[in-house]
Amino acid sequence: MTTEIKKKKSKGPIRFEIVLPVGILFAVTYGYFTYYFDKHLKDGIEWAGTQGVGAEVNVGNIKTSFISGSFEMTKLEITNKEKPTHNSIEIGSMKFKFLWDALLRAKFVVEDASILTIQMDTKRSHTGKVIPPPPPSDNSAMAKLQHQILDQAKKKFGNNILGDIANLAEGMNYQDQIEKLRADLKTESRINEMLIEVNTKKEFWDGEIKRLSDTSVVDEIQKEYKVFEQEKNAIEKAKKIPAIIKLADKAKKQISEAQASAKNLQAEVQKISSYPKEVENLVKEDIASLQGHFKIPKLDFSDFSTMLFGTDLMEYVVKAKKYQAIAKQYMPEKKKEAEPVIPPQRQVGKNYNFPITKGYPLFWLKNAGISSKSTEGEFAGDFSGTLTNVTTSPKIIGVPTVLDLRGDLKAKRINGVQLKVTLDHTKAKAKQMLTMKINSFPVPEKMLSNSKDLVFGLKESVAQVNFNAELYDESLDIRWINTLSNPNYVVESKNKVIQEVISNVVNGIKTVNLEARVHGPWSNISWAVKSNLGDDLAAGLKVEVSKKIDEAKAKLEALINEKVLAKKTELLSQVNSTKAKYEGELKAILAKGDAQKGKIEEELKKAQQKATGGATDKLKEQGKKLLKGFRL
Amino acid sequence: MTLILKQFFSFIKLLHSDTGFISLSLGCVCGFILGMTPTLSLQSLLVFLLLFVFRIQIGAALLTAFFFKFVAFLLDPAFDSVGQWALDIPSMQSLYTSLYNMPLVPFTRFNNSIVMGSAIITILLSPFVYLLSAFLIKKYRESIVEKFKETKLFKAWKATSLYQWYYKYDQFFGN
Repeated sequence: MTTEIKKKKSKGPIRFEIVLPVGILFAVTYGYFTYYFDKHLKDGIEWAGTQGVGAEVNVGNIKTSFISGSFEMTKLEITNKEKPTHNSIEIGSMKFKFLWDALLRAKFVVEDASILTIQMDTKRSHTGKVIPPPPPSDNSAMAKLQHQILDQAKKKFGNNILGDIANLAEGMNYQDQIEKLRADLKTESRINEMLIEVNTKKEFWDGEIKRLSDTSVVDEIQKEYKVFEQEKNAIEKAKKIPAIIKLADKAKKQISEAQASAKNLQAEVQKISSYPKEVENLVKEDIASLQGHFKIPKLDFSDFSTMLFGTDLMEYVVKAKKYQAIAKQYMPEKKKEAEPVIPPQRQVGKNYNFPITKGYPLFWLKNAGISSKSTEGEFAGDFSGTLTNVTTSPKIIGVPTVLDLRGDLKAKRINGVQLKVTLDHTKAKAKQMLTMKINSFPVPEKMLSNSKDLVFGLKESVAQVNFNAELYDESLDIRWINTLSNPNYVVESKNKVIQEVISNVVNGIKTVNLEARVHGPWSNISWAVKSNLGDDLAAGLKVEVSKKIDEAKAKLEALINEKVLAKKTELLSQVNSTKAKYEGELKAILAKGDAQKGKIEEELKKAQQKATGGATDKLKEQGKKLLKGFRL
Repeated sequence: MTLILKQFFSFIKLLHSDTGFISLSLGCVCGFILGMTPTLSLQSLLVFLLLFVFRIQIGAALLTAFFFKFVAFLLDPAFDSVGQWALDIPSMQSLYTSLYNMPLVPFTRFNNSIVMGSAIITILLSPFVYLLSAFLIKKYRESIVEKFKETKLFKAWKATSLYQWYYKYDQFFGN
């Protein structure tokens, strides 16, 4: 039966039933990457970018090629969150070409790349979507650190110094204000407390002194001693000795207790003696507190520039911390490189490590050219530069990431921009440096004081800046040199003296220099700001303002003294009389105690000598008599 | 999974047929290489590619690989010694350094003593494994399968309608 069946045709050596489906799968994959992958990658970048930035991100077109390992993206637009009709940044085109040699080692190395036509604040074709920001978390480490820096700066700079000076020069009526603040004056309330304390204690001390002056036990021992002296019988005399010793001990104990109490009282009297000094200190504290309340500035003219410009500078310091944290997040410390290991399914064996003559980090952008051409956009400029050595493993390549950018933003009248950012994560401790130089840029109107007493500032002018920032581990060093040429000043004050002094000072300043340095660990930043404007203003204002400050201080002191004078005098008199009275009495008690103790000791000694000496003589006489009897 | 099961059934069927001993023997050789290699590496993937592209019996390869995994475990010290000897040859150091720095080649893990040792031994023994497996298959067919076919039980089974139905089905739809 089996022979009837025609033998099946033998199959060839290639398994076409598998090869064909796999071939089709490859063809489909190729088709997907040729026709659809770019579109899906574009959508993915737009979605991830929008979620990451918090505002709509658009990509014009993406072209990738597996064969050449290239990536090209055109017209990347990132919506400005504050102004959704515009882009915060627009990039005309980006090109990357990966190195196949590295790709075959599962590494991504971009030998050369270009980022062209960078524009800022360009108008969008449609209004971009903005994702609502999450509620700010004050508990985050970043927020805490920013608050810490701001607190440091606020403590350092306080309020606007010029406004306070103008306010002071205007003069104030402190009388009414002090009446309102009377409850807050420490001196007055404390003097009242002291008076009550002194009067209460006086009653207690009187009672104590009466108690301590009691001499009944001493009198009793003296009485007993007289009886003892009058006794003729030596044996009876000797019998009384223990009772006298017991009485003497009791008397000595009582005297010691009285002396200890007297010493305690002396200490309390001494404490009261320190009350006048405490009152003086409280007066000083009240004056300092009122100085703050009435905004009487504590002027250190050597630090005038810091006070004048410090609040502006602190914004940059907070930003520096923020960018350092971001840099740390995206360029983390390289941990130990993962060694290729054989899974220990069986024995591990021995891995031979041959010298690496050609190795790559996981990602390495070797060199990227950056350029931007002036367009109609307000923020577009002629920039060119390079971005080099962006990598996931800086320690492997051993060179820092550097962004070097030069150009002009003519539409904004910003000329001669030179920017160099260096992110060095090649060592154990990361170091970030930023150097920026702008030859000229317009400075908008800047008010240094805008209070009701003084409006002082600079109208729009042209400046030059040199900015160097270095962030190393947990410390920073920022140097900022700013020069304003031919500035126009705004000086408006109700006080003629201030108006005149400031106007005279600033009219002579044709160039304003500002040199600032902020350095030290983040937890304890040192600030130093120098400016010829600050120095000249300080010199001009010093005499006038110092006089006014002294006057104000004296006025406040007089007012406080006036409020507390009567009670202060009463307290002083009470303290002095109390001290004089009790100190004398207590000294007398202590001296008397010492004398009594001495007397008791002496009498006790005599009594013991008499009792023992008398009895011995008697026995000697009786012995002699007996010897005579024996001779009969 | 269906493909693997199908390959196993195909292996049993082929083992009991009169043809296909080359496919079975090659499968045994591939299984021998897979079983001896200690980890999934580039050469293992190459063997899998050969298995899928060429008509090598996959079931035989998987069963042999399963068997040799245990044997290889016992042979690891020998592989280690041979591998270390090969990797320590001074005249080969520059070649190894070049290979180590070439793309793709490091994925073979050739720098591991056990991988290197097992590769040398399996390459050297592969022809013998092929010949041995071919001999054993032929011997099995002659001494066991033929004798079994002569038994009354098998003849009775062949006479059943169920067997006749299966035989026809296999001729029309089987591989």
